[in-house]
Amino acid sequence: MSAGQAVSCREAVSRLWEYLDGELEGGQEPAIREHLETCTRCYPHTDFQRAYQRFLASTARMPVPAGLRRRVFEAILAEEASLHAAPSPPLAGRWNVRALLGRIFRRS
Amino acid sequence: MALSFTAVDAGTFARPGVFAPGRARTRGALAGVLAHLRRAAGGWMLAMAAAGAPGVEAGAGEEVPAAARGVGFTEEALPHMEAVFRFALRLSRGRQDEAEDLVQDTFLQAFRAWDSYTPGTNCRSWLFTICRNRFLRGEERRGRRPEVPESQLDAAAEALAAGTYGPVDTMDPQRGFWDSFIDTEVLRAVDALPTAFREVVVLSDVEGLSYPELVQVLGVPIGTVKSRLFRGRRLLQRALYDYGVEMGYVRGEAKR
Repeated sequence: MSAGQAVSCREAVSRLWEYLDGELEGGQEPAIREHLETCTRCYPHTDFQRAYQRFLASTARMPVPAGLRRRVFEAILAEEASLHAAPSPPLAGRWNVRALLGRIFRRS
Repeated sequence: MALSFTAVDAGTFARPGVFAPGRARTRGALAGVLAHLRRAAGGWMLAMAAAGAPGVEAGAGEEVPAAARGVGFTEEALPHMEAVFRFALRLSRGRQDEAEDLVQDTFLQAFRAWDSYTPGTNCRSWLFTICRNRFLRGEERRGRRPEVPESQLDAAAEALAAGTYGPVDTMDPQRGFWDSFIDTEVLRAVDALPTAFREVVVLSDVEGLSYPELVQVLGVPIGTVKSRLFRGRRLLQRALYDYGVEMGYVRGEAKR
């Protein structure tokens, strides 16, 4: 299909998501856009799905709980401190082994 | 020390065959570390490390000072905590405690694997990759099975790729439909999606990842990304539609 050539409803709708996601290749985009934005049958669907995208993007916006931010910082600081500490950890569990290895790895 | 290496070689980190036989036992431990990091980062950008020892051997004498590591990590990774938290919360199906543990785990793993991250590349996608891998591992550990078996996941992809309207907007697509719902109702519907669809819908439609980024994070081909994304959107829209009808938000027949 060359650019500018008429696109069928079926063809246009099969590319609806790629169009709305901005993922159509440059050559295909103009004809698909032209159809989806002007066809009386297809436009309501285009508009509906565009509204869906805006709608979902606006949900789930929530800040990081303050306590979590602190927890992450502390975990990383502890990890960083352990990089400098003398390598004498107990070998009680997997995590200790990992920590030990992390230290060896970074010192090598 | 030798004891610890032995323990590691025999344990989960062992990667026999990665290194030539006869090399020092230390190599085994380093291979273990590499394997660990590779798992943590889901193979992302670890191709170099996967080539194995070279990076590690060359690493001698050019160690990144911990302080520099901290600065780079602080500047590049930590600003994405909000996005990672949102993703973790949806992966955990809204369970806040699990999500917080997942975020901490993700950043700790990312910090440990920071040397394998190339500064200036896509840190957000790299973090999502780690977060997803840690989540899937946790699910496995908890004995939770994927809701849709891998074998059936993409079976209906062909049919869905066909040029038809979705189940909801075949009726009377009104953009106002979306205003009927409040956030908690939507999030509940998102959380009810099977993981394979939930993750791709959230990464695309909430976090705005491009198809190539989705390919990187999910580790599947672009055709699979598209079919799961389109199918996930349909599942979500259908669920919201049915819910909307049930609640009297929209007119229509609930189950067809």
